[in-house]
Amino acid sequence: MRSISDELPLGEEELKEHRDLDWSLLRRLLSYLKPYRLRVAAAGILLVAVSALSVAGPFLVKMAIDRSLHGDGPLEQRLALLTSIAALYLAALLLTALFSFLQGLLLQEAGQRVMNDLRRELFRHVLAQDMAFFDREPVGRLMTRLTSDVEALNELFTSGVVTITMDLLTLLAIMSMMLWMDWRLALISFAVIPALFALSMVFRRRLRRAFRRVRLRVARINAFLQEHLSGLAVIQAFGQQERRLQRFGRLNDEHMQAHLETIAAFSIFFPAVEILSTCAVVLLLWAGSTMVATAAVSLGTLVAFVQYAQRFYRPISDLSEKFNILQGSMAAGERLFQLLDRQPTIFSPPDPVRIDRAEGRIEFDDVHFSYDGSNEVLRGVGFSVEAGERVALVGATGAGKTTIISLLTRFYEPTAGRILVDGVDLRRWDLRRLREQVAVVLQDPRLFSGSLEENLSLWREDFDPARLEEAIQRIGLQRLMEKLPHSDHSLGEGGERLSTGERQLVAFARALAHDPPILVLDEATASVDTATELRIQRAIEILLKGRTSLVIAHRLSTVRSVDRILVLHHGRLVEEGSHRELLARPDGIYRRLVEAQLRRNGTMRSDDGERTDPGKGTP
Amino acid sequence: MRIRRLFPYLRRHRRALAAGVVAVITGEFFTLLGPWFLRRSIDALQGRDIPAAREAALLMLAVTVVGGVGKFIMRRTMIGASRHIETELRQDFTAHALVLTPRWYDAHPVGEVMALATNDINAVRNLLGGGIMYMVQTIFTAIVAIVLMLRLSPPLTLIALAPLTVLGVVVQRGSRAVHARFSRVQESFGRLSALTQELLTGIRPIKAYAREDRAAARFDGRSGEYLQRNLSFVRIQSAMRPLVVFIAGTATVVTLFFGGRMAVAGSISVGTLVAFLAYLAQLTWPAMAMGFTINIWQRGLASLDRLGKVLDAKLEIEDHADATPWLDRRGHVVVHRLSFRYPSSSRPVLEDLSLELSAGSWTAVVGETGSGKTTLVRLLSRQWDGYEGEIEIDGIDLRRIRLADLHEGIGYAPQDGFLFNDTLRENILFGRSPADGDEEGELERLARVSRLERDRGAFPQGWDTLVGERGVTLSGGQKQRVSIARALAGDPTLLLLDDVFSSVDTETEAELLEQLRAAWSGRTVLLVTHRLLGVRQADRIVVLDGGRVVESGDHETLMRRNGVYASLFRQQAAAAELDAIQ
Repeated sequence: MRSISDELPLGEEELKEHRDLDWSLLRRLLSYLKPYRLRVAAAGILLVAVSALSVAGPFLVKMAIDRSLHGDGPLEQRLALLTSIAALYLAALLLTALFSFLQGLLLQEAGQRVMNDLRRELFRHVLAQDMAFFDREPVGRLMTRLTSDVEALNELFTSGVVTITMDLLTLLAIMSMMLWMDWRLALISFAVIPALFALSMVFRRRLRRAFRRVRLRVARINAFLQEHLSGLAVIQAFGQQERRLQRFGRLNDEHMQAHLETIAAFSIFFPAVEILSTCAVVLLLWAGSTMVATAAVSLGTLVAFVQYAQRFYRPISDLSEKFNILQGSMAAGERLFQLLDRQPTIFSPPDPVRIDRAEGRIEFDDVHFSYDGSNEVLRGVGFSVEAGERVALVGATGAGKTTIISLLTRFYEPTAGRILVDGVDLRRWDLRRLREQVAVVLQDPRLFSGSLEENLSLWREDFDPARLEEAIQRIGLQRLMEKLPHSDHSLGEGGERLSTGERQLVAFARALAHDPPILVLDEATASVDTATELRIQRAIEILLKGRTSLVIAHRLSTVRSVDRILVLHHGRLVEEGSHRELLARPDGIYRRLVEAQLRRNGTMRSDDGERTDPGKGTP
Repeated sequence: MRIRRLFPYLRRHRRALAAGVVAVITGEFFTLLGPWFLRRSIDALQGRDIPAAREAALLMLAVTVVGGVGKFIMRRTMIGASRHIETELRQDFTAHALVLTPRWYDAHPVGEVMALATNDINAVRNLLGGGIMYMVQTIFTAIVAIVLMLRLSPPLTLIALAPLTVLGVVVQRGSRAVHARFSRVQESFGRLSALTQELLTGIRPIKAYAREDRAAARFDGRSGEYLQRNLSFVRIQSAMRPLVVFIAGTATVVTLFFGGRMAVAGSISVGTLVAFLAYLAQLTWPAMAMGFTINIWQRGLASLDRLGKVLDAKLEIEDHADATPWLDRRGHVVVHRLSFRYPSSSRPVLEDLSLELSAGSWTAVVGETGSGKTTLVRLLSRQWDGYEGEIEIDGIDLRRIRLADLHEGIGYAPQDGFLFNDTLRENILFGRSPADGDEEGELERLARVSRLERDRGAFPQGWDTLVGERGVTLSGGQKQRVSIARALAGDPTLLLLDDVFSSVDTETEAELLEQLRAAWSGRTVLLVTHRLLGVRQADRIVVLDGGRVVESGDHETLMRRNGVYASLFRQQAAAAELDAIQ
């Protein structure tokens, strides 16, 4: 059964494949089996038993022919023998079915559980990474790691390693049995093995290339369709359906060609294997005929050998297909473990300072910062904010305002300098505690599917419902509840059932419910209707009350209302004072900024520069 | 009959398919002769007749080789034909998908269409390749093997085949159950992916509120559900194969038991018994395949029905039966009492809107988000139909104008400036066909007019630089300018520019407007914008509110009116004056 996942578009880098078995990778994978080692051990024993049982059939046929059909005892005895042989055969079948069922079940279950463990570990590991990691890794790629790569590892384990072991064991069992029964006939049967292996090797190599090409072209087709369905309005407005279709036709054809290659390979391989195995049978009959005639071997032995020779080729031809699965999975495993080996650079100290609730004093002491290690975004910023003080951050795009908020919640680490909350260096705070002190409301807040309450408490079950209720009341979200489905109050995926303004209000309520001593607000610039705008203004007022607040301001009304304004310019703090004081400076940067922002009135969007730094909208 | 939809495709490949059927029959026939000669060889050995035994062995090899050649041809022709048909089907599917209207896509999200294009076309392909091939193969193998077995021993044949009939039923039932559980696994996988995506996208609030543990717990919940469904799936899956092998094995046991007795009694030879065992081995696969094949057919036919959603969808926007060419293109547009409502919305976007664009004039449309500006542009470019009222261009009803002429005569720049993952050149010259000639000259002209020229140095491969998916490697302003250039390519009479300056700075906007005004002289222009200062010179400014025209006239008229426009304009102008002071 083909899963959907191999039809999904992948980046070129995802299509790279591993050249051969990587033992260190396998060892690491096996370490995940430890909690299930008893089951796996049982499965291993069953596996050996099944392989051993696989030789029973032809041997019983030999017994039947030599002892019962050709035997020289009395008729009843021969018939009785035949009955017991048939009974033995049935028993062997039953045992094989039972054992391989149990073996499959134990192993598949273990595989599924290991995947679950691995997924959970991986997800926790990803969540623990610092923001710099999320800046670099697109969500799509992380999704691939967490889903299809984990599945690929399971495939590596359950259908790869296990079936290969099984095939090899079966091969070994058959070969040993043949050697034990008659070494001369055994050697004759083995004569085709080198040819069979050579054929498999050639086939494998050809198929590997062809499969890679197929995957790449499937990805291309899907990417094309996805893109063209998304941009259909443009195609239709320009009347380009025909020409785009022609282009699709080329990709479609290439895709078919790639498949035809694999068909060509398979159509030669399967019959060739069949012919080779018949060759072994013919060799046996040819050489065996004189041996049977001279009674050097019994007829039954020869028949058993013919049957063994026919069973011989299946594991070998399976092997070549299995190796192809392995290669894809190995690459997936490597990517997974690479991710697991990445350690977050920001974590709690072993002996954090114990503070339950901060008063809310903030100090930046000669802070330098760079996202990429070369371009400094902050160049020696120093300021302090008293507990309960309201401060606005103002500056042009790229001045470093957003960076300051991100550093305050320790999303990133300063490259030099210190940041203190309540006089304690952020690096000495327990990370969790620190973040409980600061609530950040960004321009375009992220909401989650699920109820309003869940979005406010962020899934904490022990959250005081009274506090939730109060936050909803004070921000005025009661009306919102009526809009939501009555069954679950779900906001829809990413809060899609709400408007931009409503989403902001929900984010305010979330911050209010958490009641932190420090509040960081990035004022939104997006346009909302006047009624919502008023509600937002009111909500901000409620939210800021009694907290130390840092606001990235875009509205004149906001900068007028704060105690102090910090003006940033190219990563430096250049001016500081109240709105009135700063405007009074004839050549002040603040004054120029206010004017420039006023000029852009009416445009809500702006040239999307490098980093999504807000503060480039309208006042 | 649902499969009728495939007839045209099957007819086109009838030769390959017929050759395949012949190959299957010959292939299977010769392969099945193998055990026949095996029997002869064994019986000869029993009679100590070495030359006869060897001769039979060689014959066995010979028939296997011929059988192998047959199977080789079978795979190449039948599976090959299935890939050809798949490709043609996908091409037809895409051709339909590309002409379906926004109205249709409003009810069918892109994800759904993608699923049809991948999963369902794949299921149909399985029906065509595996489904047909295995069906033919199974039927012929069964017939030939049974005929040969009957010739050897009728009673033993009946005894041996009894378990195999059970096998087919078990496989068919079983694989249906396996598939049902697999669907539940996939469903759960979809939910797990959706949650993961949402949590990873919302990493900021999760970290800011230190809720990593709660997020992980939510993930664990879904992951656990996925695990449970997988376990239920593997339980039944692990049972299937051993069960099948067991049932097939019982056929061997009964043959050995009853056949053995017959051999002891001398009614059949040892060689016949061995040949029977070999035939059973050959019949096991077809008996299993019968079960699979039924499911492949069921799934394939269901998918074929689903593909009908796209293949049978009525083309809502196509040339009218008596479509008129748009020959004398002047660009005089009359909109009379236009009303329109999106199917997913209960409220009309445009209500009783009337508007006239005289040929060669420049009209600016302003108004708040949701006032109907973009919808107006969409209706004028005939992306959406089903409006009330009339739209006429140069005296012809919009719906009667030949679509090809309409696309040629209208230049359109959408709000999101969608670009294709292609070179700048391809994107700019998107609407032109290579037959239009002098590509370079046109490219240079468009780059100049759209002010892209000065960015050229920044593009690593000049105009042949790839812009990435949706143009990610370009800045917002660059994307919009490429989109403007694309709209101007060719020689459009009517230019519809939807908010194309939102991401360019004010200076560039002024330069662009100046260039554009020179370039669009003689064309009718409708420009949707939020920035009022730039469009002061427009011949007419139309202010929309709630899907109606609330104010209309040139700048002076509207200022005198002292309404919405005047107040908005003054606000923006004051800001500009402040700027002028410093």
